[in-house]
Amino acid sequence: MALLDERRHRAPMTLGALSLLLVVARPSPALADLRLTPDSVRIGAFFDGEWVRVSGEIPRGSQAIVEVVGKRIEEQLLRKGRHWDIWMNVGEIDIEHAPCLYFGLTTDPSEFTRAGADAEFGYTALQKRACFAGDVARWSHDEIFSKFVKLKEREKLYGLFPGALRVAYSEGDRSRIEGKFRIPSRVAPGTYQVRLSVVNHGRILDSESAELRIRIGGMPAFLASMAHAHGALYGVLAVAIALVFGFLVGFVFKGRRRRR
Amino acid sequence: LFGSVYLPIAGHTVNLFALLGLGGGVGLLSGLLGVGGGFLMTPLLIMTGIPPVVAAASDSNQIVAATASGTYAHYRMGNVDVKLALLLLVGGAIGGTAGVEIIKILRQLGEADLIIRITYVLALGIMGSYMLAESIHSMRRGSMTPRRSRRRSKPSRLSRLAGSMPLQTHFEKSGVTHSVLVPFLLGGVVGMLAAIMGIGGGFIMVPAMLYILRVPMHVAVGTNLFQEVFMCANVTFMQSMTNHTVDLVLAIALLIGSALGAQVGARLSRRFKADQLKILLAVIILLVMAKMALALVLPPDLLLDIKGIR
Repeated sequence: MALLDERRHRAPMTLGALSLLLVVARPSPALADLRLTPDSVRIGAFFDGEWVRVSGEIPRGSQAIVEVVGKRIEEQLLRKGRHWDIWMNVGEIDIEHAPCLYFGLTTDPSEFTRAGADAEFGYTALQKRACFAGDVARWSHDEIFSKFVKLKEREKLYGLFPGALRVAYSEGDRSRIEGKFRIPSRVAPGTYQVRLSVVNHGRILDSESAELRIRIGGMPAFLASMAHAHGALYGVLAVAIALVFGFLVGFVFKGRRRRR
Repeated sequence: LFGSVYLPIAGHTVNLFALLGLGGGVGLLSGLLGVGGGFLMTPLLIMTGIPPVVAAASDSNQIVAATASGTYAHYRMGNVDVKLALLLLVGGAIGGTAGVEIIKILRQLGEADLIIRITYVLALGIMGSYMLAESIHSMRRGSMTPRRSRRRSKPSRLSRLAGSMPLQTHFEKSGVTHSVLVPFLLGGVVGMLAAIMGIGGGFIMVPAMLYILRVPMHVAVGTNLFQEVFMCANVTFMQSMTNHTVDLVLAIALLIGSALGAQVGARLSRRFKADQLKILLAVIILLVMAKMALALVLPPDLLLDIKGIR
């Protein structure tokens, strides 16, 4: 009985100690928090690109960088040059380890200006990883990469947007950041990584990633798949549609003339 | 944007109304001036950002519809020389298949786009200059019809050479006698150009039938349309099977516009003089040619380009 009383007295003490232990052992909240709206984009029959909103939380006073990165691809590029006074393709350059899509958004308008080995983000970081092969003797690595970036920017597949992330509000020691980027109509289906990095005085404090899925669906998916997997059937279908439509238009207009 | 449509093979979005308008505009000129319109459509598509190989292949597909519509009307009027058309077709099928293979090789070499552009500049330049000169000359001489002028003119060297070839046969509907090899070879050359340029070849075939084969104008137009249906159907099928570059969405949008535009153009054509229309067409052709020629000689904005469609 005495033992039971002693246990009853000890129980609240044990619970208190456990609670204290849980509070101490609980992991500190992640510095970066990231959300995408929508987190999945469908390429349908009327797809013309789509805006994706990005939001998250970072420690107050720090800066945020959001990168949208496509899978690394091997891409074959054609180098143009003058030959017989005509501008034509004069060589081929293969690029490896460059993403098929890259966007960079920051809260700090002066971000992406650092160059060299210190640069962790932006085109400088991409250039450090990219490799070139083939007809590369005429241009330096910098020149090729710069031209490659211009080509990708023209297709709206690469872009740097310093200051495109804004601090919506701050509460306590946290700040909420918001921004948006546009997925272009030329985007290839696949899974894209969206990474939020928290930076303070050039030091990366934390990062958080999310996936953005882009898939082709509906009629475009059906047609693209048929065109590549069943080329003969696709060809017959294309010819049949054209023939039926052509004869139909001829017949309809002939009928109208007769009635007159 | 309102009216945007995704092209699954070209891999990007264009405005549906722009495509219908483009098809309608070229179809209107086609109906107005009696040409297929493919030689205008493909460069215009390239200018709107469609990859040249996709533009050429999809244009072949839409020409099938336009020529089928025209053939229907001409066949009812008795303007189709089936015997001549079959010989042109056999040559065209072989030439078209060879053209598709050439494009395949050129794509591997990365030169397909350049060859398409150079072929266009040359073909448009020659045809535009010839039409402009011939129309101005005709206007100066008054209202002389092409048939009269052909009756007066002597046979060309090509005509005489064609007349000396073996396997001579008579083409009743056309009222001419030729070696079977002549339409066969002619079909082969035009078929190859059709595959490379994505055209029906009418703007080469009709003058060739008029000036080399001496076929009457209305039979030349009807026979050309008839053989173009099969030739472009073959090119469309081969491009679909070999290069996978026919964009059905693009082709359907274009063929709706062009088939309707052609009918409107055919009605409008009665209000204009033939030479006025020819000069208008020649000027349009030369402007397109100049734009493409400038792109070949002026430095490009970017000195790098992606190989292939995407």
